[in-house]
Amino acid sequence: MYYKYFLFLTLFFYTQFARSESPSGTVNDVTYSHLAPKSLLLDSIYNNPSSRHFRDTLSISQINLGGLWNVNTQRPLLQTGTDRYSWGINLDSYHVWNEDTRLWGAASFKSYEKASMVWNSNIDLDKIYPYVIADTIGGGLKGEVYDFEGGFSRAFGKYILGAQLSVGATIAYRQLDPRPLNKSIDLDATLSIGRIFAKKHLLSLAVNGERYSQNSTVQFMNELGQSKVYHLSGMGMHYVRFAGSNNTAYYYGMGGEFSLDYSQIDALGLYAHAKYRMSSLDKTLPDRNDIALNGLKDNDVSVLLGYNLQTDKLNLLGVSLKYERTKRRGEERIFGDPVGSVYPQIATSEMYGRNREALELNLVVNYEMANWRSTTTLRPGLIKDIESYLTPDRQREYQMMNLSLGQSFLFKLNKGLLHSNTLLTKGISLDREQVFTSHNKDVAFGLEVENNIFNYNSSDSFGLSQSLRYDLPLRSQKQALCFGGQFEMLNKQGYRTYFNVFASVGVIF
Amino acid sequence: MKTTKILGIAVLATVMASCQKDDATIGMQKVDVSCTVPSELTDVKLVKGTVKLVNITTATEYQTEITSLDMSGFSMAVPAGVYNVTFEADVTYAVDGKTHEGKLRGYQESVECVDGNMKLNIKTELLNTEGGLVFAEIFFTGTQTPESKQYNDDKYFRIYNNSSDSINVAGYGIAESAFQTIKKYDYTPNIMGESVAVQALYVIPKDKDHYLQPGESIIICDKAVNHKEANENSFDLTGADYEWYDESTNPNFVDTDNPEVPNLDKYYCYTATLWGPHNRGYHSYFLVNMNDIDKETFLAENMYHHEWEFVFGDNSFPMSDDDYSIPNKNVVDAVNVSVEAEFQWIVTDPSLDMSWTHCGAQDHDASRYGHSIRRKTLSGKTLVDTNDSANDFMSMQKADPFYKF
Repeated sequence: MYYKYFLFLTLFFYTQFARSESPSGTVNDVTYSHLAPKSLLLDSIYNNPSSRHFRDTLSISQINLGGLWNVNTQRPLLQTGTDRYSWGINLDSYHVWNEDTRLWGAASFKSYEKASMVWNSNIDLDKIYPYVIADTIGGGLKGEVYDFEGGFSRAFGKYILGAQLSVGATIAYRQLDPRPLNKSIDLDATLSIGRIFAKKHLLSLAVNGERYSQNSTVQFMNELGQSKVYHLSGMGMHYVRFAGSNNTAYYYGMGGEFSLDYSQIDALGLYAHAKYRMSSLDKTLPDRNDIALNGLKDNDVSVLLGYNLQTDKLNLLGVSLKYERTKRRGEERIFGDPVGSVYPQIATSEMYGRNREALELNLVVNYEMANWRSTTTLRPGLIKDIESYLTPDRQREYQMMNLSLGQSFLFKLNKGLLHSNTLLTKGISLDREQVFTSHNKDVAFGLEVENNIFNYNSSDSFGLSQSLRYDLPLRSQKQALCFGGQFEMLNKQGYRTYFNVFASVGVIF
Repeated sequence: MKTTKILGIAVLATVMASCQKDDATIGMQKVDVSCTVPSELTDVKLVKGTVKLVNITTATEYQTEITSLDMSGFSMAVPAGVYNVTFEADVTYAVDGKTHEGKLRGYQESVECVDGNMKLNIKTELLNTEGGLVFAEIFFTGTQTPESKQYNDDKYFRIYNNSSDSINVAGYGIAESAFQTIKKYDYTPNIMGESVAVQALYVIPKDKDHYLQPGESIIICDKAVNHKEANENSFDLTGADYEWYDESTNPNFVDTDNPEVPNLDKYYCYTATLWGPHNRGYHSYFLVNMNDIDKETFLAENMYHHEWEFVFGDNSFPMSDDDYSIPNKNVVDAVNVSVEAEFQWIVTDPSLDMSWTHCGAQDHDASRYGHSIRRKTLSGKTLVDTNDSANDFMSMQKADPFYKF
């Protein structure tokens, strides 16, 4: 992967470039300002390049090297498996270039190993679900992920123009039969324009385009035969006709997004975000004359409305309400009898559907004291998820109430900054129902994974995470070393509790 | 205030733009089904019967019982797709004034139900379940040597008397289909309703009677020698009843003849060297009765010239070939064989065999070596024979020419 070299070159030049910049204030001041809760609350808004112009008033860059270890390997969700370990390095930077221009960029590399993946040989499950290549043996998966992002914004009087480009590439493989090899590339470009009204109100429109592809193949080296490879079509169904040795698939997708954001440039007062996204993706089989087996169409909406109120004593009171709806439709293409090896497509049927809605209220109370900051967050939310297959009639539906309580502290110590974040989460199942009508000879096919998906997503859960980070400024006070650690546990009813441990070391400058 | 208005309108427009039709719909297809009863049967009355549509894409089955054989107004609603349709009915019928019980069966493969109402007439046949000679086991995959080398000389067919009478096997033969089950072409003329196209035909010599008692079997093999001497994973076939022998035109490939074991009479074979069943299972096999036609007449009158379009990518090429045809009435047993992951069609009329069996899940599947297809036992010495190979045979059985049924 040439991306690796590109990443290192990016890091090298960037650190040289950043060194020439001299952010005003000490590194502690910059970090303190960067982590201001009022800005964190507007994260969705700052995805818009024109709005991001006002994300920070001081430049900040950070390089981190970190790793995750799974303490006990198990497989709560069969198709995604469990993270055995991952480690990575990432660079994230935001530059106040001059009064009118902002630049930002990010580059990251992650190496990971997953364990116990079954019924899925692909990567990027969310993008291609349910049309995955699957086998019943499974195993681990090693992967490397490369992400690059760059953007800028520039003010022209009352107008703010912005652009952002990101590219992500992943390669994942297994060195034991069955041996999946997946390569994916995701290219994403955004253009935006913002207009400032009455000196502080910013209205921004962003247009985004995405191109995605994934090449997947499953190889077998065992000369004594190979297991069957399936092409799943959702809810325990699969293309019986193409099961067996059609071991290669190609996924190609395009997407577009419009978003409209309103905020005030000081991140206080009313803010709002609305986004509409549509995308489509095709799955083809190169081994069968590139027949387009399946198609996916996504249609997503997201709306956020919030208010940040600043007072003298009670530094910040923030409230926001977010609604998201994702809608996915899956098409199966029907093919007539082949002539030679060419299958004529004779019809298309929309068989798979998923509607997911989420509503979340976010309440934040932030106290600013002389040498420390306390931020308390309460997030109650509702999720309704309906998945269906049209015939045979199959449906699963669940409703969950999620509650999270977070408490963050940021202490200014003699020399550095100490961060502490505690998060408690609770998932409560309100309603769950799964109906599987079966007309298949092979009744049991896929039920293991379908039951697993249903039970995992709709069961009660309890989670706890605690992270600590210490930023130690260097002598110049322009850079700081940061050392972090995190512990997290999640218990899903009916599954073993799993524990992850993270550790990281980095530089802020 | 102005800003708030603009924001409100924009948000509303975005949300409305996303609110497209919510309900996914699928074209349910109405299929009107009727059947044609064999004209030679009279006074046919239905006892019970079903029509079953199996979606070949998803294996989803839709089955409905019928209440009468005229089936007026009978229809089924199925999702758009390609279906294999099976009609089965227990009936009574009259012959010479006597009432008999029997089973009618019809089968139609790859019926496309995608475009509105569809009318489907299924031609039925009276299922012959009165026994006779059948393939009990076909070993076409060969074995592997301890060094994992392919060993092809030990293939065999086991033919079994599945009736309650003794049968003289002289004049019966084995044949291999000219067409492959893993590649479908539109062959012209299409003779499948009347005959099978074969590319190899070997017949038990007619000059000597050989009676098989009920439950007895014969083994026809390629080389009737003790293969264990060359390959310890193989079998001793010196006790075989017949072997097929080929006079090869290539001195590098010559056959071995055991003079103690009679050779089959070679009527025809496409190859000028040595024949053996396809070791992955691309072709189907037929047990045929050639007693009503002599070799010379058969070869003179049953040449089958056929043409088809060979399609490769976006290109197609006209092709033609010559093989031989054997009338379906001479086919005593037919077994469609394929590769599980590669199957495209059956190469017989469904009245001979309406499905297929296999050894090995994938093409080149090495686990197939040493395995055969073996007929299931119904009861006692009677083997299952419903002209439905998927139902009648067990696939991937450890090959054993002397297996006790």
